[in-house]
Amino acid sequence: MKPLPRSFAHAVVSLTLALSTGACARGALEARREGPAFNRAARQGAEAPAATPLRLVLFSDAHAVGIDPATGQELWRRPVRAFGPPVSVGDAVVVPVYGHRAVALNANTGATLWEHALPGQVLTGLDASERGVIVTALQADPKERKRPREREQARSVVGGMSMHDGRIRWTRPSTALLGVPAARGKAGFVPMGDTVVSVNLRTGRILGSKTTASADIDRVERHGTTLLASDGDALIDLQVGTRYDYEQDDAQLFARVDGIEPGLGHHGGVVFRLLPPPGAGAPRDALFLGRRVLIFVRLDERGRLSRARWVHARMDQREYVDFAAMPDAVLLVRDDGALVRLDRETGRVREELEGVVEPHGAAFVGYATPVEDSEDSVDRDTTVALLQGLIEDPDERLVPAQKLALTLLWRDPRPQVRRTVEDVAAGIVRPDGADATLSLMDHADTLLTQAWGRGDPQTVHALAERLTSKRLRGDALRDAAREAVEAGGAEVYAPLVNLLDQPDLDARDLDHVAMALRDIGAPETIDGAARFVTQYHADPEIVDASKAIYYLAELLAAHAQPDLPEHTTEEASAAANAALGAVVEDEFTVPSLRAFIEAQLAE
Amino acid sequence: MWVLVLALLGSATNDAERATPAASVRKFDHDARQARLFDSMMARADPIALEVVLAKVAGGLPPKSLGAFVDNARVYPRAEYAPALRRYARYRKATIRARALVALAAIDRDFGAEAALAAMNDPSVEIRLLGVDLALANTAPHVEEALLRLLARDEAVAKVVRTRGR
Repeated sequence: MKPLPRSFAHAVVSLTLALSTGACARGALEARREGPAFNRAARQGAEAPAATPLRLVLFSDAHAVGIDPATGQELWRRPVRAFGPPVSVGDAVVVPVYGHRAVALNANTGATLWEHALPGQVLTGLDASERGVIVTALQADPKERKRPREREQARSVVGGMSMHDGRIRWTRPSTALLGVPAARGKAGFVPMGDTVVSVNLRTGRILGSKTTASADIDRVERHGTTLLASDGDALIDLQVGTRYDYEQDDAQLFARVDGIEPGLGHHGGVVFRLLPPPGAGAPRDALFLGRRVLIFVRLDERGRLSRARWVHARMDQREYVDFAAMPDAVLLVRDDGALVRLDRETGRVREELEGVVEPHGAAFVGYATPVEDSEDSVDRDTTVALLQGLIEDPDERLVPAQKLALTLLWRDPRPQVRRTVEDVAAGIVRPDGADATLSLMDHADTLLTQAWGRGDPQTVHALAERLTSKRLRGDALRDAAREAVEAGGAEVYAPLVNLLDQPDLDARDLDHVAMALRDIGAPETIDGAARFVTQYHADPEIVDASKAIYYLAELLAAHAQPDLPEHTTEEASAAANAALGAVVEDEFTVPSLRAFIEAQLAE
Repeated sequence: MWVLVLALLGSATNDAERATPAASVRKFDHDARQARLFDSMMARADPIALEVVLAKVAGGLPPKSLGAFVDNARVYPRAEYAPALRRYARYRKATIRARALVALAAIDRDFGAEAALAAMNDPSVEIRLLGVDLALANTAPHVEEALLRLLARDEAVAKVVRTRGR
């Protein structure tokens, strides 16, 4: 028998949906009108809502429980069997429940505002704004009568529900697999492959679409006033295009939905949330929850991880379910229902309130005004030590947080801090063969091939070109050399080594270059350093003119006698040993230099 | 002319440095001894002497020995000295660079062209002027091209060359 044409299949799906839900069936969801129309839709409702008191609704196996987050006191309890993650809208919380239905509850009283069947047959994702609820789901192929159990057996469908009474207003089938949608103002945003399509929440009319750089957008999320698309390991700002990339090369940072909502509490326990700034501009702070660790992260102007401002890690085995950032505190819900209040400035635990129910999911209802976070109040060394301690923890659940910690350590401007990443890659920090360790080693290996510090490939390339410029002298050279230490990449090695051979470099400039090479400490620079030390070690005029030769001797000594063999390469170690040995043995070596090298080697 | 002046200047200084000091201030000078050894070995230039000199040069030289090497390399030019001379053409002291470039140019015309190009890109005006002389003595299309570019971009050198032309 000849297969039915695709358009006919669409018509059948639409008709089936219309008949089953009583909603207005629209044509297939498709990408169209790239550009201004989408941006207009994304801007609507972007203004921050007025601050409203925070309420917490916890969802256990059988109940929804309203909690006053200030006291931990139970306000109400209702028998609700939540299936998927709840979303909050104004004073209400909307939650998908077993039976492929959704329930809207008043967060203050627990009263049911409405309950209604969801479009489709298997939930993919749901979000809501004051104007309506948007749902993506899977719908069985018309030829199959059964409920789809695999996403290949089904087609995706998107539908809009009334926030007033929960009635399904419209549905649209889709040939492509849809992800978890987001709702904001009048518009819903539906991820479809590499595109996000915006639709009118009330009518289902397609407003516009936006193609992203990622081929596989899995979900769209609201983070304050920012709308982000996620592909599992990065978040892309749909309005300005900033990509919040987390360099999770071998594993998805965020749990994938892949067409079927895995159910409440089945997400990875990994949440990354941007903190909206009080004024205009991209968010510069974010909170990363990695099961039993919360890291307050500073982002750079390009949205890349810059540094950890503080780290909170539980020493017991309890995990966190969700969190909310308030002006002076961060409130966490523990998996036993307890509320943990952290100081927003320091991350220290202020209080723990006993729980009333073991939650699988939580929704904070209400909105706190964004605040400008003051400068870091936790000592940088303490934060680094906590990150290093986190990496050493053998708990497999911590892998996403540990990868984030590794990235943050690699972003540190201090070479001695970045050494931790080298040690992880070399198997020194965790000398076991567990999968989690191997995964961390892979991640560290990948980091080692990238620019360190806060430099990205473009910055490092520009820096390398600056260092190559003949006009770069004096303060400009000093700054560039420090930048190479703090935010460089392997691309800066050659220009720095070449500078050693520039005869017009004055003694101070030479010092800056040599000091930068010493601080970077890369084995790739050993040949250049050895050449310089060998050439000038017997010339007192040059040895005494600057400290450069001493810095380079320090670099050589660090490779000749490394703390651990993994800190260098065999070739570099041999070259450093040969150069220093020859210099120490040479009768013409300037005595002060010989004494310095001997002391270095003796250390 | 410049070649000669620089070379003579260099040699004169070196000779004075290497002269045996008066008995009252005499202290055994290993560097001067090695410099004198270089004089004889580089003049002899037998394989063993050559090997010793090149090994010493590779290990780095103190000032007097270095002066002796670059000067003897000019007087007794050999292609074997070229790698070391190239290195010394980037030395931090201008006098060593100038003498190394002259010694490199003394090997043959190809090395002369190479020395001229290196000299014309040197940060020191005097060595760039030396580069002009080396370029005129070791003409080749690419050297002439580099010379014209130097005269176009370097007002200090062009001025001296114009004065000399008159």
